Amino acid sequence: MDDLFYFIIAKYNYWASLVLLFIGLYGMIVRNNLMKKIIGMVIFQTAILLFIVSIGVKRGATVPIIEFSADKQPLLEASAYANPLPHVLILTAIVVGVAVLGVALALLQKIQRVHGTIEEDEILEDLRK
Amino acid sequence: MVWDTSLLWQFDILILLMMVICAVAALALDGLISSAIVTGVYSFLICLMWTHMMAVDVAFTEAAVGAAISTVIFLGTAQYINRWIKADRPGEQGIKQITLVIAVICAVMMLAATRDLPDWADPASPASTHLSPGFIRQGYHETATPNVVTAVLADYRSYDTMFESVVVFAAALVVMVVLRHTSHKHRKVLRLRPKREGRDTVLRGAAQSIIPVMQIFALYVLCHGHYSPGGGFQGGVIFGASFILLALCYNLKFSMNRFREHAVLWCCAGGVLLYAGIGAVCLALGWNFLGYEALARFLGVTEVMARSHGILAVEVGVGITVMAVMVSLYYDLASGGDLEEGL
Repeated sequence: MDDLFYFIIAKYNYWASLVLLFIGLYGMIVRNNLMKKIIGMVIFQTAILLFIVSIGVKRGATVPIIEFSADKQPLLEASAYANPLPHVLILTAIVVGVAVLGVALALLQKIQRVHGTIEEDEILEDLRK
Repeated sequence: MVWDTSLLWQFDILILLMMVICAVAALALDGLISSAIVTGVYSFLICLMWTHMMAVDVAFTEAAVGAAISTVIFLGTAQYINRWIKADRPGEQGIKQITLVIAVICAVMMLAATRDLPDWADPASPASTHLSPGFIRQGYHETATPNVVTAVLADYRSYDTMFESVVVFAAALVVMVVLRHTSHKHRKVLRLRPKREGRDTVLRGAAQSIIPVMQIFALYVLCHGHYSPGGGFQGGVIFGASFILLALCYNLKFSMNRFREHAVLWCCAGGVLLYAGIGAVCLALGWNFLGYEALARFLGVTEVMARSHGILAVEVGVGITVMAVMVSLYYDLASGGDLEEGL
């Protein structure tokens, strides 16, 4: 029983990010509305970011900002701080994510103007005319 | 095996469950405005998750970008498109079921593969034992910057961050190029928008008292990024959000009178130019591109302090670009490209 408990505790974060990944992917494939596809893309993206940050977590570690002892000496024990490298990658990925979202929404507005709809099948019908 | 109870797994599982519910709701709801709001809630939840995983810089960025700016540009777009989605046709049910089966099979295979991953929060996992201890141990001695994330972002990986800001700059230009051309027919549609007078006293009063504080806080976040969570990206987004708040509480014209589009574009380019310019100065002084040690003689400080100052300078560049890009995205997306009337 304890083994099962530890197994769940040790992996649940990865499971959650995988479930979110497939919810986002399924939404992107199945939904007919382009706005819903963009929301699916956002969820897909955050699921990957969640996975990468999960890799850098350390038990008993604090935020990756160096602390100082009473006599102003930096405490440089690596196991005391969370892994900073995934944080750097994800930080920039979030800002680029909003830039991608902006471009996607601009294209969405343009599609609405040209075709008068953002439903995928109606756009295809409009193109075939 | 001893489990450290300080990680509060019950709390984590609750947040993750709520995130899954929000993700499903955002995709399943029929109204586009409600799904935009649910996506904002989802961002706040993941922000909590990141704080709990000790990724404070990431949480800060997500709170400003994901929960605030993304939701606003979603809502800005929603006023120009059909707000209610149409019911799917009956013929598509088969394809949906096939997709669901394939997605579930892939998910189960990947879930099975997680057995081989190191345990969550294991200090001895490969990701935490090879490269990252080096940055934690040497980072402070080499750059005099206690926040390791800032040191890696703006010094060790400064090329990456520079091109990241170029990507953001390019996105602002693309949005402008795509939306700016308005046909005669479309201009007639845009004229039907309700006029926003911005006469709501409560909102205006609140905005007047909040915006100066927001801007000072943004500058603090930018400059204090060496010692606390924060830096160019977070400070820039908060500063940009203050102009967006102004546009939301008054109207777009009011905000544009204070921060004209011309100035926004100059800031977009100027930030990237400042970043690349510092790299070029280092190159001209005989060091590597973005090798901030070159500035030591110039500034009259030690090489370690020169790296710290170099980090601050490029963070200012990033902050200016990100601030201007966020404002530019809002101006274009919320006005449908004609910059007359916003959200």
